[in-house]
Amino acid sequence: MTLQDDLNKNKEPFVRFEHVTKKFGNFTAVSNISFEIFRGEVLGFLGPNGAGKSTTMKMLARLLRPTEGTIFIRANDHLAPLTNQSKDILLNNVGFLIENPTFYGNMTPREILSYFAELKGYPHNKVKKRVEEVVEMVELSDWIDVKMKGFSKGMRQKIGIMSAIVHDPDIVILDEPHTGLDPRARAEIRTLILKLKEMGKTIFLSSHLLYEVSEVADRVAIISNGKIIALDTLENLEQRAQGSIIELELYKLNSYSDDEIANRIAQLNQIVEPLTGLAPEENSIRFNPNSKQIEILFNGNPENQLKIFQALFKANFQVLEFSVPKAGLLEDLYLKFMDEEDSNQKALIQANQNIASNSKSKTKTKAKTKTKTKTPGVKV
Amino acid sequence: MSTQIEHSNNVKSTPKIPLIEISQLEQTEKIGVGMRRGWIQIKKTVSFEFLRNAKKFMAMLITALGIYLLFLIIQLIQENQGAEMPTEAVDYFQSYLGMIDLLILIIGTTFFGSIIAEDFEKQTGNLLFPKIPKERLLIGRFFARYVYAALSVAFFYLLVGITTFIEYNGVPKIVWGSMLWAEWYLFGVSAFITMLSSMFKRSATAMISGLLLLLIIFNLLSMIFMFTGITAEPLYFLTYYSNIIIEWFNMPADDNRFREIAFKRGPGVEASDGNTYYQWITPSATGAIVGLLIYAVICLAIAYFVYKRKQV
Repeated sequence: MTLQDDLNKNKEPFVRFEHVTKKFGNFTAVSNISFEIFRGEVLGFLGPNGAGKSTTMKMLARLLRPTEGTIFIRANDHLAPLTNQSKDILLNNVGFLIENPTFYGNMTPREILSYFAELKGYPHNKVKKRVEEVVEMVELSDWIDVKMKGFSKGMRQKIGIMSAIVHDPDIVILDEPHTGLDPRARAEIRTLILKLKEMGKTIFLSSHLLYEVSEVADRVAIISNGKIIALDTLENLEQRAQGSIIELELYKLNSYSDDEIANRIAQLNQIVEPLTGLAPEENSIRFNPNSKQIEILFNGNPENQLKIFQALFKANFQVLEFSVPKAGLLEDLYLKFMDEEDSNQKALIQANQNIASNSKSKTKTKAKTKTKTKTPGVKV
Repeated sequence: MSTQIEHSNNVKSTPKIPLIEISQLEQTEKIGVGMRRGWIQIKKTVSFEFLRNAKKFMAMLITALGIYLLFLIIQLIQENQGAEMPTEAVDYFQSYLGMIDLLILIIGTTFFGSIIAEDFEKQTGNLLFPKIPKERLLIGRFFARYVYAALSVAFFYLLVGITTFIEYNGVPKIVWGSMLWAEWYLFGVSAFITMLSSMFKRSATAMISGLLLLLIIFNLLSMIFMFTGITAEPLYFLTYYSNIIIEWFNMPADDNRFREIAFKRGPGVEASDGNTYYQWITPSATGAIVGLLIYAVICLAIAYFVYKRKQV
């Protein structure tokens, strides 16, 4: 039993996917996925376009029905299967933002959010205050009575998130909430998600932006070709990947000539390599000539991180920045898992092709044998 | 040398944006899932739809006014040319109803062409469906839009009623009977367009096919049926029911609701082709009530089941 299993045992699952599959005709969008989301956690959901993220989320919102398997949602202290009969009760405590929310252009945020809040049972006498509060939360109070047709994508996205939480649900599902937002708006959404987490909400968050997920997620699930290929905390995934990254910026490195830079990198490599905790044959230094940023790969152990830091100071490297960004790690992990999945897929396709070609050659041999048998004495 | 050391646990580029404390609700304060919630959802959908379709309503009032003005101008021109005015107020009123079925079609397609299709066209259903069951949404939307549509038709009758009152110092009561038939026919048309809206992904497609079917296809089919010698009353054509709106003023006896037509062979030829065709004038009052009710129930049931099955 792993550490994660121990942790999971003490947590209360709020949502459970059990062998869920979704097919559109012959195409399998989601294939036999099983996982849980625990009370009060933020589960980041990553995957390339077409991997099955939105399909998974839409199934949880009952906008799509699973072809096989069951989704469970907690209600009255037990997990109940999400069906057509139970969906009204189970989804009552869930807020959704499905990708690219579209609103009626001739309505104002106040009108739309009030409508949504009351549809979900928010008491009429408290709706006005609630709507004003959530709109103020995303700093759109000045726009609360303006028709939405002139809103930017970012503003619509913010109202979309507000529409998911306006009725104060315990579970919030956010499908690509950062799409189309400028950096400031993304930061606001990030802060908002953390605030929701602080309030005890359980959040299921999908995003293409690894950084956004890494900054808020307690656990990360990676989906590829409709299958969950990794699901764990960032720390555990880091252990699995046996590595992490230090981002390093040296003072005035961009004023150096290419030769000088090459010398500095070689010198850096000499100092750092024995401290990374990685096998000597692994290349531990990566340099981006455009951004002049250096990345040091190490085993992710904080002791090694500290040793590298001390060694750099001892060797008089003028360090401007020394950080271990989660996004960098997550990006590497993401690519690693994707590569693994791709290789598995390729191997599978190759194996299938081999089987197919073998069976073809067998059929040909049989056919030849048949021809020979039919026409004895004729040379083929 | 300035040194910046950061670790993954620091949320380094998340600015401290002041977040207001928002009130949290006790679960018990929420209105529970059940009949009361269902009723509130329908009620809220109705008021939301009133707000959302207010502009369409204004546009339909203007359309009704436009058609009324068109007939008024024709009347005034005829008057100026010395044509005799109808002696009876009923006849005068009736002369304005030449395009009432077209007005009903325009109103019906405008309000109901988008009733279901828009959720899939603009993906607004992504936000709506987890919040409200489709049947409640459909009931609320249909009711609100039908009220607007019915008011638009009533507005036309009101305009003609006022003009008749000015010209004849009174409005015959039978006029309001005709208006009720117009509203009832509008109900059938609304249900039919709602069904089309559930079948298409685009509101425009639903509206255009609705207009094509009701303006051209049904009329063509009823003519074809007539020439094939079918004598049965064409209660299966929705457009047939619109006849009662005008015929109500001179409702024929039950055995006299069709006319026999004998066509000549061609221009200048006196002799008939020997065949007699039945052209139905109007459904009976009972036929119109029952027929349109069945029509509406079938169309709305189909619309509901298609809508229910449709996935975003």
